[in-house]
Amino acid sequence: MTDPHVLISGYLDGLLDGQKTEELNNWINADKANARYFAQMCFIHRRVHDVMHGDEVTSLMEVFKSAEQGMADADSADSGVDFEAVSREDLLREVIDQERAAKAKRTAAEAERKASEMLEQSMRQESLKSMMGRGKSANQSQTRHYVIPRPLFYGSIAAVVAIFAFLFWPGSIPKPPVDGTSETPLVEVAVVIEQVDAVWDAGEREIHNGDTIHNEPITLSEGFARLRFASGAEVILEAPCVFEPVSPVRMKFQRGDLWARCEPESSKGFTVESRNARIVDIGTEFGVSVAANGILETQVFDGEIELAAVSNGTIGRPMRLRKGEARRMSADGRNVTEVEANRFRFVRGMSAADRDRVLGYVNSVTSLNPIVYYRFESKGGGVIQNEMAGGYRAHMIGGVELEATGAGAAGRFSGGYLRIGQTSTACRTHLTTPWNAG
Amino acid sequence: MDQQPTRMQQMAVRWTAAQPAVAAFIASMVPDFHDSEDLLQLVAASVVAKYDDYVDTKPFVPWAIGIARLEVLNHRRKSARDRHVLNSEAMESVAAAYREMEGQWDDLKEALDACIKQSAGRSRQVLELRYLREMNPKDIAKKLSMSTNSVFVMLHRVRIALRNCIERRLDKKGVRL
Repeated sequence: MTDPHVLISGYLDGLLDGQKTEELNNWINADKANARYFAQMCFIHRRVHDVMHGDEVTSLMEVFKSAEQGMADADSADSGVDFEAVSREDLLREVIDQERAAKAKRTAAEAERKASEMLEQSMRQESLKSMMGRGKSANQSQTRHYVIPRPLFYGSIAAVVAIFAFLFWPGSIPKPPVDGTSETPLVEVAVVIEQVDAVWDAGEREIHNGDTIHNEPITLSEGFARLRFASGAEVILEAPCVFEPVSPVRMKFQRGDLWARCEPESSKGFTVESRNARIVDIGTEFGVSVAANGILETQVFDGEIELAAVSNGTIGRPMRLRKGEARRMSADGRNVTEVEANRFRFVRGMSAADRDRVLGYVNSVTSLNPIVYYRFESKGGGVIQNEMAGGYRAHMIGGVELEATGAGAAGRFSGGYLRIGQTSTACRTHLTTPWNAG
Repeated sequence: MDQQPTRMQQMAVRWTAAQPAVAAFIASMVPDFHDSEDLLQLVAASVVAKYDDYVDTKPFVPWAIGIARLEVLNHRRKSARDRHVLNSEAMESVAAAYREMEGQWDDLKEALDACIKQSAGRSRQVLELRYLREMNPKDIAKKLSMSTNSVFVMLHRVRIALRNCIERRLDKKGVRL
C-alpha cells in the first residue's frame, strides 16, 4: 500500500494512475478519519489557491460578515433601506457589470501570467499555440457560464454584495490596492554567468556572477556581461548598454551592442526590440547594435533572423536575413541598407581575444597559418614582430621603404624583398626607416 | 419599511459562509482549478434555483454539498477526460466528512491563512508556482532545475506542514481538527 499522504498529494497534482486512484478510494473508504483527513487536505489545496489569487473569497466573506452584523443591527435600528422596494433584477444588474469587469480583469491578468509562463516553457510558436488553446478553453468556460440563467448565477454570488455594499453599507467593499495590481510582477528572466570589468547601474544592487536579472530596465555602464536567459538564449552585452529583459525570450534593447546565441529549442524565437525595430531569431547566432541616435545594425553569424521596422507599435513586414548578411536601419525605421558583414563587429565571447576586436582579427589571420604575418605594430626601437612566432626566420632585406607622412597615414612597401629562413624562434626584423603609421 | 433580511439575502449570506466548504468538496472531486471553479459557479446557480426547497431549520452546508455532489456527477458524465476519479463510495465518505466539519470552517480558514503567511523560502516558492502560477510539478521542476520527483516530494511535505500548522493553531484554541 502506498503512503496515503503520497496518494493524496499525487491526486491533487493529477499524477495518479488508475491503480493508485483505486488505492486512494480504498483508503478513504476504510475509515471515517481517513475521509476526514482527505477532506482537510483538499480544503488546503483549494484554499491556498484562493489565497494566492488575492483572497477573493475572503474579501467576499468579510463583506458578508459585515452584512450579517448589519442584519443584526437592523433588528434594532432603522437602516434606511427598503429592501422590498429593490427588485432582484435591479440589484443584480449593477453587480453583473461589476462581476463582468472583475472577471475580465482576472482573465486578463491570468492570461498574461500564463503567457509568460508558456514562453518560459517552450518555443515561441508553441507558446502562442498554447495561448490560443487557453483562449479556447476560456471561451468554452464562458459559454458554459452563459447557459445558466444570469440572474440565478449572479444572485447566488453577488446579491448580498449588491444589497449591503451598495445600499446598506456603501463603500464597504474591500477595494484592491490602487497601485500594485497593475504592475508587472518581478520575474527572474536571466542569470549573469560571466562579466568582465562590468559596472552596472542597478541602484544599490551589486550584480555578481550567478545573480538573477529581473524583467526591469537595467544599464551596463562599463565592461562586458554574458547573460543566460531562462529560455537558454545566451547574450553578451557590451557597454554602454541599456536594456530590459522582458521575458525569457524577449528583451528590449535601447542602446548598446549585443550578441545572442539561441541554441536550445526553447530559445528559438528570441526577440530583441529596439525603439524602431524588432529582430526575431529563427536561427542560432546574431548581433545587434543600437547607437545613441537610434540607428540599428544587425548581422547574422549563423542561421537566420527576421528584421522588421516598428512604428507606433505597428510591426512592419519582416525581412529575413541569413548567415553572413548584415543590415543598417535608420532611426525612424524607414530606410534599411545593406552593409558589409564584419565578423569582428560584435563581441562573441568573453576571452581577451574575443573582447578585443583587433586581437580577434589577429587571431583570425593567424588561424590561417600564414608563413609570416606582420602587423607592423612597433614594439619600440623600430622592431616589428612576426606574429607567426615559432615558424620561419624572416628578414627584410635591402631597399625596403616604408613611407609614412604622419600618424595614421598608410605605409607603402616600395621595394626590397623579404627573405624567409628555415628555422627560427626569434622571427624579428628591423626597419631602417621611421615608422609612425598604423 | 421592512428591516428584516429577505429570504434571498439570507440565502446569499448562508451561501457565502458555506462557499469554502463547498469549494473544497468540489476540489476534492475535481482537483483541476479551472474545472472546479466552473463547477462552483454551477453549484451556486443551482443553490439559488433550488433555495425554495431548503428548509431553514436544517444545516445549510450539507444541503449545498448535496447539490455540489449532483453537479460533480453531472460534470463527470459530460467530461470524458476524468478517467482517474474517486468512486461514488469515496465521494459519499468525503461528503460525509465535510458535513461533519460543519462549524469548523471559519477556524480552519483563519488558521490556514496564518500558516500560509508563515511559509517562506523554497516552500513558499513552490507553493506560488503550483497555486499562483498553476504550474504542474513537471514544469516547476524545469523552472527550478530539480527533478519532478523532488518537486512532488516538496509539495507533499509543504501540504503536510500546512496541515500540521493548522492543527497546532487549532489546538491552542481548543479546537480539534
